Amino acid sequence: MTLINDRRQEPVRHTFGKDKARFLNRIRDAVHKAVQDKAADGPIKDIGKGGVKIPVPKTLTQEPVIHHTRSPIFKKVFPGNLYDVGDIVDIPSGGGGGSGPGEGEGSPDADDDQDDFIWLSEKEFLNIFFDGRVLPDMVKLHSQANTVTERQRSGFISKGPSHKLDMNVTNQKRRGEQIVFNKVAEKRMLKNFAEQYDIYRGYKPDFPEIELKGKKGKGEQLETIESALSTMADDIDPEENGGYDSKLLSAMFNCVSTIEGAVDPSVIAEPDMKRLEVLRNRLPEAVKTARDAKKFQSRHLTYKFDDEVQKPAAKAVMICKMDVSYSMTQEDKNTAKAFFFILNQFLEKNYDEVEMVFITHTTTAEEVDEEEFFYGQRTGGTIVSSCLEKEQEIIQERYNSAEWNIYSVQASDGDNPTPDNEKVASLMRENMPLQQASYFIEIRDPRWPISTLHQVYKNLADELPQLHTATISSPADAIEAFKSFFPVGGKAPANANQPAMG
Amino acid sequence: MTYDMKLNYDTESQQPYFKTITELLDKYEDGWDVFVKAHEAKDYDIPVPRKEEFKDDPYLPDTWLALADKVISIIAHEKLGLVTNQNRIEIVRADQMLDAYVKPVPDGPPHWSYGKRRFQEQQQFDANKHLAYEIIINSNPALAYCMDTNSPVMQMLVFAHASYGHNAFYKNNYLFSEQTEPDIIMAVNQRLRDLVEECEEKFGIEEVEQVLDFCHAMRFMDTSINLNKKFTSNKDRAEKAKKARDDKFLNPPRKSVFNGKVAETNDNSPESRYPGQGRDNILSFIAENVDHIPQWKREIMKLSSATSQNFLPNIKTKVANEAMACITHYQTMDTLNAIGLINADMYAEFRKSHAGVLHQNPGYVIRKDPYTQEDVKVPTGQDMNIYALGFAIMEDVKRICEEPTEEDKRWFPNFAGKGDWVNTCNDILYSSSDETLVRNFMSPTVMRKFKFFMLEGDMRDEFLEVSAVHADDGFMKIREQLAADYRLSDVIPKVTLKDYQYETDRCLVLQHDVINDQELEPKSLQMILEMIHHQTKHPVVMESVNSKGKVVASYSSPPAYKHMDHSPAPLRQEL
Repeated sequence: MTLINDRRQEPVRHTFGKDKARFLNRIRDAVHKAVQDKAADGPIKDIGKGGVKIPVPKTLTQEPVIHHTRSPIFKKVFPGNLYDVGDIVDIPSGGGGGSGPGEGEGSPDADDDQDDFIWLSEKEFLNIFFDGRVLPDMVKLHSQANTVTERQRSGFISKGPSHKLDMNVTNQKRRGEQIVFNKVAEKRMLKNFAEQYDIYRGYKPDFPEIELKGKKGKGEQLETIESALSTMADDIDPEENGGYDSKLLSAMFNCVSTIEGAVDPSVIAEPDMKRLEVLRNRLPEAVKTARDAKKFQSRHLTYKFDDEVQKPAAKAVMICKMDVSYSMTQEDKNTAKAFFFILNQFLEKNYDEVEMVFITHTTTAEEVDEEEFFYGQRTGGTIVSSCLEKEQEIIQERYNSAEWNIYSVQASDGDNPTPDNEKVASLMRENMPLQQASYFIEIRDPRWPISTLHQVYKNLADELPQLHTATISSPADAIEAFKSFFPVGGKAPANANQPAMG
Repeated sequence: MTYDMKLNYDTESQQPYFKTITELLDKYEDGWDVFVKAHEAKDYDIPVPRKEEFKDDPYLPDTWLALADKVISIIAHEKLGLVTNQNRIEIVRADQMLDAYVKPVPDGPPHWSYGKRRFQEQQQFDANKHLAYEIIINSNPALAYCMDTNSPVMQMLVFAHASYGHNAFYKNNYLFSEQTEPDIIMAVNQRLRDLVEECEEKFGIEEVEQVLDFCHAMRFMDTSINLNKKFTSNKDRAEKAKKARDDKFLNPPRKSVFNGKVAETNDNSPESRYPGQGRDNILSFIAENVDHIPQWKREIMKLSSATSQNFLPNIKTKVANEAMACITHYQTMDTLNAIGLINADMYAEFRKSHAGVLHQNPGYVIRKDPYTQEDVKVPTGQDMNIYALGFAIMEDVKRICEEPTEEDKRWFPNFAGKGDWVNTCNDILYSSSDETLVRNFMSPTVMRKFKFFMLEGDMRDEFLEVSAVHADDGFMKIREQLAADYRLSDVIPKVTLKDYQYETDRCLVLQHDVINDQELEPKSLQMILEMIHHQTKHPVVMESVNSKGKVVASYSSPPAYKHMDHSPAPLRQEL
């Protein structure tokens, strides 16, 4: 008695979680180093875009097993001969004399110096890039009890909605069948013609016999038919094919039509006539089979299967503030942008929904879109407090701090009239309690002393734990500043999710 | 209706299995159309309603899958004469299939190498979207995984192929039936997993991982089952036992002064000190006899050894195993077609997959040179398709049984024209490994069909020479070489335990027998020796010994260690 266990509708069990985690743990240090190198190399905007190939040293992934070295003496049997004894041939690339069982299992071999590679998707890459860095205060992360249902790709299934159809796999299946069905149809037609021919030959024995049985190759069959055809009649138009593409069928068709023309229909006996009619009626069916083979059938259809995963929902807003007065050059703005980008990526990893607010200011502040924020230029002096007022306004209008996690970043070159600094300090004291964290970055050559504005923020940071400041001068510094803001293994709140790998 | 259908209906319907199937299908409303209906609906969830009077019979299959399995089992058992273990069939999705790819047994212990392989399989799958139709594991009940995307016809093919073909081979082939223990393999693995998890809590993950790494690395130096064992029939075994009995009677052992109570011996070789230990099975020897290893490590080593040994005969019987499975599925589907259970469309679909599985690419092909426009012969680097080879050999055995030519009668006088191909094929497969199957039963017809040719040469030169082709004097040469390609002793180095110096520094001395001047790969060997050294905490030496008994190479861990001869120098008596 057989036990049959239908597991199609089972939810995805991540049975390999443990093994995968062990593997990642084993290669963790190497991958971390490679990820940090990769991130520092390219432009920051393309960090992890479209997946990244990460080298992993072989020493970490190999499983040694005892085996022989490759023997120089080559002795092997191959199928599909084209040669005679004594011929000289090239050495095949894939072959090897005494290949060991350990090959292909990551054992050290001739190409020992090369590393293994693992392919990390963008998400996995960023996960590792940000691994261990936690948000400063995520008390509100799960304050709302609502969850979102996410769908996750996992394998294929033979039934599903049409938008889940995987055309690649489906087409592969169809193409395979088309070849076979064409062959089957050709065989049937050939057999049909052969039978018709034999019936006619019963009345005209002087016509040559066409014996296809026992001749397997198409070439052999074609030879037989063509030699018979050539003895039958000389005036056959080689272009005439009766609508059949295949050479074999058109030759056979010619044979049948020739003999049909030679036999007087009134001589043919009743049962033979009936049989001929049956055979002729069957032909269109076979043609149809060949034609249908090109079409998609429902058995070819293969669908992607998605599994549902429940995840807690949390929202964040990131308020980007920047001084766009004349003293900020485009280069400074690009440096600031690098920091904005990394922080945004980090927030997007930790929150399900991240909104962006852009505020530019000179002496007055206004809310703009992203394009305008980074590339727009305005003239005039600088008053930082105007921007903080605008920020306060926006938060009160739109972002209830009980619902939203608010992060703000301010980029500046440090210019501000001294009388305004007091107002800045008082506004910051008002704004800070509403926010999760606030970052002030000054774009300035680190050899110079920090500006008075930076000094004001620095003094504030002593009394406001959410406020952090840094000086940066290049996109690479932005990564360093980010790392200093979010130390690895920073104090995580009790209910925060530790970012997991893989 | 086409000419294929009901080809041998008249002869087939006289067979006893036909009656059994008729009795079974008569109890269903759809009768003989069940399979055709499922095919037309493209669905094996299709209901199979039973007739009113059989509604309550608990022994009748309820689903289409179970019914298909039942019909196939009747053909396999009654027509093809197979004896099988019980089957367990799991219909799985792609992700579950990928999981099944990675671990030999579903409940294995956690280990990073499985994680690595799961990553690789996933990447490969994402790249080419190709998965096997089925996987079967040698256990009792035999566990088979079948893809859910298989069409009804494919599912029937896969049942016949894996759950009856492979299953019968596992149960009856001499290597498997004598040297594996399918009944307990699942339980052994669950025990190993539990043990590993418990030890990880107690001793830390890293410590346990090193033991498992060590066990994995030792898997080809752990062949206590004799991989090169020849098939012996029951008669031979009985004769051998009788001879041993007679010898004991004719030359009874001398009575010992120790009165049989103490096994005192002056022989210090490992066999006499540790009787019952195979010299091949180094992992088990370490687990049981080497001193200073904690008990939990010994236990893990023993269980790992038992698991890996259960799968070793698979390496030796790839061709024979697939030959059994392919001929089973081919005969089953042919029979289903002949008795009219599947129609011509379904048969065509079967032939398509069958041809795909058995496709053999040639070793060299003719291509046009893009520059000179001349035809050149290019190597494709294609290996033998084991399915094609196995199936071709067995198909030809069948033909030789039924319609032998003069040549066949000369080559195979034992069974040419014997007629009873079912039993002949089964007997051949049950008593063969790949090597013996190819050497003894590959006929000239098969060699002509594949157009075999043989290349010889030195890889350091730029070329190879064709030394034999599929013509009269080449047949023996090709057959011999192809058999040698599947000879395991050339692939897995033969390593035995030479000495365990328990009286001095507990050094483990291993011996590698050099065959055909093949050297050991030094890097992985050194790593393995280091692992042994790390686990046993005592030195270890590996000596490569050639056929004349001369040591040609020696490796050790620690690297500079020189081992002493075991016995101390004789005491000099000075008068």
